[in-house]
Amino acid sequence: MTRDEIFRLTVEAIHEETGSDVPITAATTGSDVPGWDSLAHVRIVLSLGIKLNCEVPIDDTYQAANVGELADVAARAAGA
Amino acid sequence: MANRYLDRLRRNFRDLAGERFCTLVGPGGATTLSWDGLERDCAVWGAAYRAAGLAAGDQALIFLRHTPELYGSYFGAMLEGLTPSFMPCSSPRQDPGLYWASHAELMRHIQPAAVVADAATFAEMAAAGLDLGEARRIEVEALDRTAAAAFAEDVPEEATALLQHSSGTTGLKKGVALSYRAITEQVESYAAAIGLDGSDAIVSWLPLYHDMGLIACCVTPAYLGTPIVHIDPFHWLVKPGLLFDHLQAEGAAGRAGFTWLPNFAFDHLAAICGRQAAQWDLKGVRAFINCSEPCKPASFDRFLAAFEAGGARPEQLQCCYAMAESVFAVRQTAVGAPAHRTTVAAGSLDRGKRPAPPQAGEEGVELVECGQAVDGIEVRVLDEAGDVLPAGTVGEIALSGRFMFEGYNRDPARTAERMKDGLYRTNDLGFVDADGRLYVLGRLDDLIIINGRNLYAHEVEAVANKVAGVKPGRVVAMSEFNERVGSEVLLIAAEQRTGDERPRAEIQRDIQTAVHSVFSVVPHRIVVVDEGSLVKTTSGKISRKENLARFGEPKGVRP
Repeated sequence: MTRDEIFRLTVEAIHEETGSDVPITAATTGSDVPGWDSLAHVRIVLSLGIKLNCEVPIDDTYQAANVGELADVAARAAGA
Repeated sequence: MANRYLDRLRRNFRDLAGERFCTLVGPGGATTLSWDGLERDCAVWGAAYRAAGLAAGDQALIFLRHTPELYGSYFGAMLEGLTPSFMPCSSPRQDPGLYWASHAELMRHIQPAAVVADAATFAEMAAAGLDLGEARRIEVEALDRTAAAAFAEDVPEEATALLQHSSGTTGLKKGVALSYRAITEQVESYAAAIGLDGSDAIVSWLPLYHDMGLIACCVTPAYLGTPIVHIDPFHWLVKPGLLFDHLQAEGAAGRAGFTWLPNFAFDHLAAICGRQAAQWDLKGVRAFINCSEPCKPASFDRFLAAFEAGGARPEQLQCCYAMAESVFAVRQTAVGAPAHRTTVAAGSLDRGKRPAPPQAGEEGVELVECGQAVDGIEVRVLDEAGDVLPAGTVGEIALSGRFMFEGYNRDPARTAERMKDGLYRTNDLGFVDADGRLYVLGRLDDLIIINGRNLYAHEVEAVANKVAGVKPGRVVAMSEFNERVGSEVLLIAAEQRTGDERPRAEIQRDIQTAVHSVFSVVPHRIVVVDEGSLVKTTSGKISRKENLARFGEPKGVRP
């Protein structure tokens, strides 16, 4: 799976779990997306793990400054 | 009169020494605190309070994260005759500067005699410029572990045992003052209602600054000698299956498990753990008790569908109606039997109406009961004039009984406003059916309950009003129930000042940051609109109802 595909799945998980449809780029942060609270964050990460068929380490995701870095964490977990 | 609560605590120290008081579970694993360990911790904390010059009746605010010190600092304060109160710390995704700065008004109002925290938390407070006033700072790392205070023997049962700050913003939190007599009567009555005793176990992930976590999962088991498993709330959010792991382990050890959950937690468990349901054996769980936000039948259904393979049964799912002002439980469904459900016409749920089954073509709403009376507290349903309504009629729920609160801390005006003619006016709307079952429908004021957390719409609006670019006074905060989350979600609509040129996305982000930092709640939707766009009532006030219809998707029965 390519980095672009993982980024697309990350955006998809964010939209699904927050219920928001705001445009998302690699520079988007949690504060830019309504509904992205602690509960939604957990669900985003778990959803991403299911989409990528791997476990995305949640502790690492808290260090991600934006969606691009979140996708990077997911990509590392997926071995991409 | 002897202080039954503290007498029992001291007796438990003696009779249960060596036995487990609590297992604390966090990212680093589990730690067990025994009863004799708790006694030692209480003595150490008592000595620290005494060394700080605190005297009986002084108030101590405890800002601690998940640590065994939660228990020693709290019960040690009680045993020293002080009045403790657990307070929340900032969460990992909040701006600590904004969070602690928002406590300034609270500190001025409470004027605590002591603040308990770790060094990192005190540093966060200082960096935010939070003035703790005359409060003594008691730092966990500076405790003298060799010191030990003899416990006070003369704390009267009518003394204020604790303060609960479970509602309102940091600035305007209501401090509910509860006496030892009240908490003892509640604990004994509620334990009898649900059949809880020292042979059972309580498994909880609830924070102790929340009344459900404090009373049901800390104050009650400490009195009864019921072992506690206390999971770090943030850790539980990530690994909700830990709740089942520990309920299963307690069941295997022959202890019936009890757990209390806000409604959203039933959905969170189903969403995250449902796929692995068969890995748990939940047959030994006595009760999953839904409390702190309106119980939704659909959430119960999703939970049962997800965990049937693990042995979950309808009779394990219970409801409780509770509030800090009555210490905790007011009503409770019968443990061991499924909670009763009824379907009524959506249009029959307004104040003064009598809910009735829907007729052909009418929309129906399924409700789940909040149960029968807990001995010692009486529910009345009132009309606008304060007169008692006949059974089956919708009105305001009012309470009286032998374990009501003493009043709001340092706030006699608010106490007088809510206590009238010996009745506590809850501002909850509900009705009692012909069989005595209570149904809670919504609120008469602007309280919003999100994932079990209480906040008032007007306080959210006050915070959003301060964001640059927002037209002062032209913000409305609303809520709607979200099925996916299993709770209400927060919506905010704000007018942008004419002539302001900030991009609306920036204003939205600033509103989100400000609201999250103060309330620990992230708005689900923020709409920034032109000046004059919000709908006003005929009296010129901004209408929550009309703006919800315009900017949200209203569901349910919230008035």
